[in-house]
Amino acid sequence: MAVCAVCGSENRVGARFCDACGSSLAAPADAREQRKTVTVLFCDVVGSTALGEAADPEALRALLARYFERMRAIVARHGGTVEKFVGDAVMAAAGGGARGDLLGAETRALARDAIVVEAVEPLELRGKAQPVVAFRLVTVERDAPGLARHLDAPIVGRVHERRPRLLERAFANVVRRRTCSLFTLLGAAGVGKSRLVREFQRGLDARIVRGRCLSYGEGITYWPVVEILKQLGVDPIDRGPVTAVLGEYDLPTTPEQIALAVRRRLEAAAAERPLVVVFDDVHWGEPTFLDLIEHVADLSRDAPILLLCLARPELLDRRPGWGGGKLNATTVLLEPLDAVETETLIERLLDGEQLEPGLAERIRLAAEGNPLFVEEMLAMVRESGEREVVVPPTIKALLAARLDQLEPSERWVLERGSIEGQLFHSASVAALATPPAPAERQLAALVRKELVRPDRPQLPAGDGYHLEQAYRYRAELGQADPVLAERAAELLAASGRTARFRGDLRAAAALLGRAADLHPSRRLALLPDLGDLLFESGEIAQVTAVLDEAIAMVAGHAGEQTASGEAVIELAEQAAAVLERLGERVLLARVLAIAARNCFFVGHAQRSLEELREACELAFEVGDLYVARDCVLWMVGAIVYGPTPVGEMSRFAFPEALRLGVEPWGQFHEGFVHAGSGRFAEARERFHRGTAARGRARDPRPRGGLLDVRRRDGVEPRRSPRRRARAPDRVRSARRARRDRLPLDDGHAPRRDARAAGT
Amino acid sequence: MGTLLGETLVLQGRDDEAEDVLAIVDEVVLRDDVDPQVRMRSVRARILARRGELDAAERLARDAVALAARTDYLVLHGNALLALADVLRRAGAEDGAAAALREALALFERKEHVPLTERTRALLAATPVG
Repeated sequence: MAVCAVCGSENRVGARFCDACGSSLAAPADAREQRKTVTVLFCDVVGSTALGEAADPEALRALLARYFERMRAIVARHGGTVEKFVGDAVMAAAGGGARGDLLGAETRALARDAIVVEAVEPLELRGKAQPVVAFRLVTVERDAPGLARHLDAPIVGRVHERRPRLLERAFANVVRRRTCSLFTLLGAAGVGKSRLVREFQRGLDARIVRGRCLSYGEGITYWPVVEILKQLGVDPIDRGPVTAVLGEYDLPTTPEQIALAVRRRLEAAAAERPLVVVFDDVHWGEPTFLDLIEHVADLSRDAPILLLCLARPELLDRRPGWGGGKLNATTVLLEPLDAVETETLIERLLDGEQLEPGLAERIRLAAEGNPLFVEEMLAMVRESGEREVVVPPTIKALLAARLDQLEPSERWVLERGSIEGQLFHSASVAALATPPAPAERQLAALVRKELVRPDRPQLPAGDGYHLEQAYRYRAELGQADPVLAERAAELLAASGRTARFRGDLRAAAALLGRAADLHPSRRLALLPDLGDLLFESGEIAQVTAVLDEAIAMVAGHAGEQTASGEAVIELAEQAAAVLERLGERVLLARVLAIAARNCFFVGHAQRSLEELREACELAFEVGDLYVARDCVLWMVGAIVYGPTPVGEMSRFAFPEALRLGVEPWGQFHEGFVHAGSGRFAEARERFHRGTAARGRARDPRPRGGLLDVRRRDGVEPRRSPRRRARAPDRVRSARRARRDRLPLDDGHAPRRDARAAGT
Repeated sequence: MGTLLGETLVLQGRDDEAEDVLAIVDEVVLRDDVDPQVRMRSVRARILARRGELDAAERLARDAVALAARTDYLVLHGNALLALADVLRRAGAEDGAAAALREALALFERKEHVPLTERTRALLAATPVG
């Protein structure tokens, strides 16, 4: 059976569209498991059995139909959906809040200031080992906030907002010029918007009225306006749009007529005394309501009105141009308290009371500058006597509600970021996408919504360390995530290649080793490179162990003799054919290089040279400059050892190869040319230069190449201002190198033609 | 690198040291890494020939030449032929030595390697042909 997500109707199995409302029954494309806080309502008719026995069947059926219809409307008004009707029972789910006859302890805490309850015997419930504490709901105080804020708590910090007295100045302006001003105070839930406004209101010579936007329900568009109008009062003989909004008079009206009427009512009130209209939770305001506020702000004349809107930063997502382009509009973002301010707040709230050593500090850290969180955590600690910081249900609900309001892609970014931890890196989030994709837009939105704060990176982005830590942490909890391991291994391996290119062989070996440890299915692919690196680092004993393992993995059992070079060539060429078909050009370049190197080992220098050239070109094209450089090194060997005559060797030049960090080999190559020509003094000179260049191997000489590699790894290189000024030249050089390929190639083809022509 | 060192030591007449180096190389060299395999055989052949173990020396030297002939390493092949010529000359097989030198000369000329060409020509000129 398929339940419609829009109207809650039950549909036949296999239905693609809802029979009741026509909505698609297909699961959304991005449907993913996610934790949500919901309220499940279950109710049935008291005495239904007796009713069924007493009532006529048709009458009972009509009664139940009315009951179901009424229940569906009530559930919908509270933002819920009916999950199913079973007999005379209704089961419904809503995204937040809770109402019912019996309440649990957490629900009671969430609604503690709006309800009266009485304790009942703890309930024995299925699935719960211990009896569950419960309360019977006695009454609900209409219009009372579920959680009354302690606005009498001492105000701390807000030096910027209070000292220049932005609000007071805005109000003074309104009074002096008899004009209307729109002042918007943005800030995350609990950051202290209401507290600041209360401070502002104190002793203010003005009439103050308040309205609050609601997040769900019927007729919520003008709800805050209705609240305001009720406080201002309406002329009893008025039969216009204002009374229509109040529901006192049934008159067809348009939003424009209502906005005009409300403005006139506000102006009339302001004519008697300066008026401050406080609208709370404006981020939940319907578009028509937001239009109304802007209408009043734009058109009100000769009336001292301060429209003070309190909202979470999400308001700017719903209305990006809010307050923009208006000379009479001010928007202020209220930041979290800093560490010192938070400590001061805790001290004032404790009022001399002593806490367990370190507990106040833990509360400070956990609250992250949010005064509400501080208040609630302190209250929780006092009530429960806990020695550890426990997140109170009020804050859990608040945070859950904020998360539930996120766009799916933003929530996804947050979830992926949390894998790394409290501090996470955008590169890690991007790497965890399938396929990897940047998340800058979502991160910007999360920053705007005050759910994420930018920080300085602790390590170069994209090095995989963070994901590796996250993976190991989760693995310890028994939640090993293979996708996470794979991404971490990829980033570590990429960092290893960069380190190798940089000449930091030990770091490169360590990174590759960690990547190989992290992901068994990538291990075999990484071991040969790791062996190479260890060999270059002089760790011969480890080389043997690594290569033995690789061979054992390939052969399927340990102790197998090393595969012959010819076999490796054959295998690599088969792999190359497959990779070429698949378009896997990065891997193809590496495999061609392996084949070419083995050709050289077994004595086919000319074939090796040709394959190295092909691998080198491809490596340049795909930006794998490490492989390109490696190919150049082996080409020197193939030219010196192979059939290339010494006279032709001298025509090979390596200007661009030098940029790849192979200067020593370029010098050695020239040395071989001189030696082969009998010019021993020049040969010695070249070999000396090559040896000296090898000594400078850690100098990050291949600037252009390194820049390019880092860019391709998604890392913006750090450059000094002086280098930055020269950067375009280097980038152009790198591009030119790719475009022109290696001069080896350009120089070689014409000579082959010349040979063929007998010249 | 070890085989190059061995070659150098042998050319200087320091055969015992060359053998020590080759013993180390023998442990680490790959079976199908053709360059050290050829050089090891050539160097050992020269040492054996100097000690009078001419048959074993010739076997090793020819083995080295056969291995090198499967490659297109012109200098390596030429050097293996020089080693064979040295062994054959010590065995009194002057014609064989001259033939090996001529073959080496052709390879060095093809490579346009001036010093090796000149050296081989000199060796050939000094080798009596029957």
